[in-house]
Amino acid sequence: MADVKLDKKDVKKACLFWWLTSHSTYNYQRLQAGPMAGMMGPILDKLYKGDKEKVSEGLTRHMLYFNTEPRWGAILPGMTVALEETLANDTTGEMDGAVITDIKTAMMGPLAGIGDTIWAGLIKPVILSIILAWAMQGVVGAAWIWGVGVMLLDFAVTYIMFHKGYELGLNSVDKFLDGGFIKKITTFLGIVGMFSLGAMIVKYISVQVVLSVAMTTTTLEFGSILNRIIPCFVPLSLTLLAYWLQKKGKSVTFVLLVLFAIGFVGGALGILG
Amino acid sequence: MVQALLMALLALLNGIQGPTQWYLFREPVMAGFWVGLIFGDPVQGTMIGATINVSYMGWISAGGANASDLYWAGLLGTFVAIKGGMNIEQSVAFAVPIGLLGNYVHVAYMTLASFWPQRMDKLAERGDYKGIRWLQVLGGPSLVVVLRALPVFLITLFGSEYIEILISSLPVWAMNGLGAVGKLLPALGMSMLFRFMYKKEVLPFFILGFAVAAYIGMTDLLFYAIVGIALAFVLIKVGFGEEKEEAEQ
Repeated sequence: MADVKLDKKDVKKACLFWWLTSHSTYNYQRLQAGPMAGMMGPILDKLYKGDKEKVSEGLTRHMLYFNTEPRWGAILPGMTVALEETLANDTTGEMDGAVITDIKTAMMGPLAGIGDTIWAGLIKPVILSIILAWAMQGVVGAAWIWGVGVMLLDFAVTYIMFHKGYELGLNSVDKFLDGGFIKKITTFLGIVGMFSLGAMIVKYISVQVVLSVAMTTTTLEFGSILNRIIPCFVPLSLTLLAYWLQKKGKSVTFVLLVLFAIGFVGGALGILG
Repeated sequence: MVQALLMALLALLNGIQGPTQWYLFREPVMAGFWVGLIFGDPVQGTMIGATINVSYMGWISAGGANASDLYWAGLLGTFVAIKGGMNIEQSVAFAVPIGLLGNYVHVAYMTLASFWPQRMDKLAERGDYKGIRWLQVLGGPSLVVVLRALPVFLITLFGSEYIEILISSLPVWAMNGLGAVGKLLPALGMSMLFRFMYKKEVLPFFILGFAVAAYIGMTDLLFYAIVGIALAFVLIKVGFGEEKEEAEQ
């Protein structure tokens, strides 16, 4: 393994790329995987000195589903940069790519929750309420205080959190490389990650069976019948179906098209909604 | 024509996902200012935009799901108000159906953009990170041109009644179909995570998390992080998962 260190400029560039494009290709399938992989590109290229195979491995790792709050949550992409640096320089064999994914997955949900609460739930409405009161009276400058001022605030938060994340990622490295610690941390994060993932299915997949048949005396609502067996039956079974198809060796594109077809036909026929 | 082109440009900037656009063009108060500027009355535009903005104060797009479209409510709401000569209160009422229409555009965007990761996967396989970066920078905006800038151009050119034609021309079943797809598609992302994180010994925690969320209705992810960390902490202390370690050696 090569001994390549990142300098401040690399981290700053990654931070800027994250800030500018964190939502640029935001999509239902993998949300922020694109900005993550795009941000890691030059980092991986430098760490592995252009070794295509290693770079490709790293890019594939960061193309996995990722979603967090872009400002306060920037601590996580910052940390990921540091972890990739550690992985590239690791000679003990204790560190591997799966650990990075585990950390990302376990932390993105909570960070999104904290970030959204602080930013969208607290800071943004408070600033907006003051600005809108002015703007409604015809003060054009108030709109610009929002446009420029809050944009700069957004950047400041992202910049600070990203760099904090990078420092944290580097400093906890010694602990990471202690014998057995990685095993413990993966189990630890596996528990937190899987526990959260179970809840994420309920939170993010909102599709339900909406089909109902009017009988002579009563209306048969299939959705509520299903939900009486297991609540959120549809989201869970669709997730497991998608998992099963992938495990069968089907490509992600194929699974995407299957889900698209189920959703479109189901929605058009009034079964799903 | 010039105004329609400027509106299309504004719709593009309004729709691109990025911090400079969010604050300078997306928030209805700023969208209102720009629309007002295009039609010669930035002060009136700012006032209308700000009024529409109030109903979107708590607007949040967690995981890409949102109730009503902030983007078009401000942009087209102000346009309709200025062109239609409506008062500010009426324009707020009109912004709501526009926001609902815009929501379908957002769903369409999020769905179509779901095809970019597939392209990126291929580039990642080849180690072509520059390709990924270009796609990341241009992929979203190119969709916005078609989904947001073009309709706004047509709406401005042919008048505000075009919105109603657009709504009625989409059959209900197609709208329902697209709506269901949007609600269902996160299942793919979840399944990929599940596939990656799956280990026999942590499967019960997945079931536990699902059961708590589904039966109790608790969907604040911070709750799961806190409880999960506490659970994991205790279990690691008592040696959970250690047998597996020995078995492997």
